[in-house]
Amino acid sequence: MTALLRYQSAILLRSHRWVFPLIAYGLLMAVSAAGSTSLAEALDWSGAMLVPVVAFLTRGMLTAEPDAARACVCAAAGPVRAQLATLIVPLGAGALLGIAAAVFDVLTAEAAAKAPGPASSSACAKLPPK
Amino acid sequence: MRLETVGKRYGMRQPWVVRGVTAELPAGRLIRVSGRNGSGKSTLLRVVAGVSLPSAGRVTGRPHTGYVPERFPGGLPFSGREYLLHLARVHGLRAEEARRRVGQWLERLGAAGYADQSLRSMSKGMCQKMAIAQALLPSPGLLVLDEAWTGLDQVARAELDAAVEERVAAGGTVLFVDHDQARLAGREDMRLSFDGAGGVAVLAGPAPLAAPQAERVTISLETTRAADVIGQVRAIDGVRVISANVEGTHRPGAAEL
Repeated sequence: MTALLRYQSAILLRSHRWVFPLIAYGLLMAVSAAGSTSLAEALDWSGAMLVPVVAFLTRGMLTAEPDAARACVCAAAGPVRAQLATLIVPLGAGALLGIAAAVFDVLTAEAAAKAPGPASSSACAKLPPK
Repeated sequence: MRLETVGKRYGMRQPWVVRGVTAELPAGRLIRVSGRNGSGKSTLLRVVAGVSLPSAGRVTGRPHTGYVPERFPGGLPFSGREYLLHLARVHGLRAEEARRRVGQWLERLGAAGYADQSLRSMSKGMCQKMAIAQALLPSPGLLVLDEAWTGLDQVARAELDAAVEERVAAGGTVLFVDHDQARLAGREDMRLSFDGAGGVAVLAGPAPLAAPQAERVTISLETTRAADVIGQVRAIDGVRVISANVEGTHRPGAAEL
């Protein structure tokens, strides 16, 4: 399974199919940073936007490998495991994006809390442990 | 390895492409799959190789498998060598062994000089060599070749023939389809012949038929003049049992009216 995951991750990285989902997510995060008033709201938004972005990534992943190449891998490792690896890789990439977004949200909320303003400091007091 | 009433269709409402195939695929045998275009050869090969799951029946006792598809259109963002190294690991080889075998097969197929090109820029024949190399890397117990010889140069064709014989000699099962009837002619032990309606007949190949003696061989003949033919067959030296299956008889009297 490790070899399959490495193979699929290499396809994702080398095919550059991660570029557009990453840019899309970056833009969505920028919108959130400009518009949210509390950390909870920012985390909500980044969580919700992860859904279409991971869907985009998964779709890119599923079409990155030509059918013939997929058939060879299926014979070597079994069709179920081959398919599973293709789905786990974008899921893992999505998890990384989610963690990065949460860290970004917390940091921007802290930066906002240091600036004067009662609304943002109260939001900061309710920070979930990260 | 064994196929038990294996059937395949691509969707619940679709017709059966392959239906009710029961066959023993013994180890150490070379098996030709024959039939017209569109008769389901490739589909059966995919099911045997474990690339697609059968819609009915089951495949049991499948050894480690190498599969060569009929077309391998590159398209992956790797060089040939990188692709083969990845596949060697997927086949379960250790890093050291993977590197050694990749080098060895690239050399044998005459592709070593091109291996560091990207798969996307490779010619059809070179891509086909990559597909063949990945299937042979693990010395598979089951090798499935779907017109794997197409697009290969003379050297690589001979090398693939040799590799097939090595697999068989090492106790592996090799299944192949090729439109060139001369391909490995006279060497196959068994034939799976499609009847055009999704059914498959399992026949002995020329290699065992040419053997001086076998335990039991059953031959079926089709004729409209049973009495004559059976009489003649019975007269042949070496025939032990004759069984006849008769359909649609006409009584002599009725026929003359």
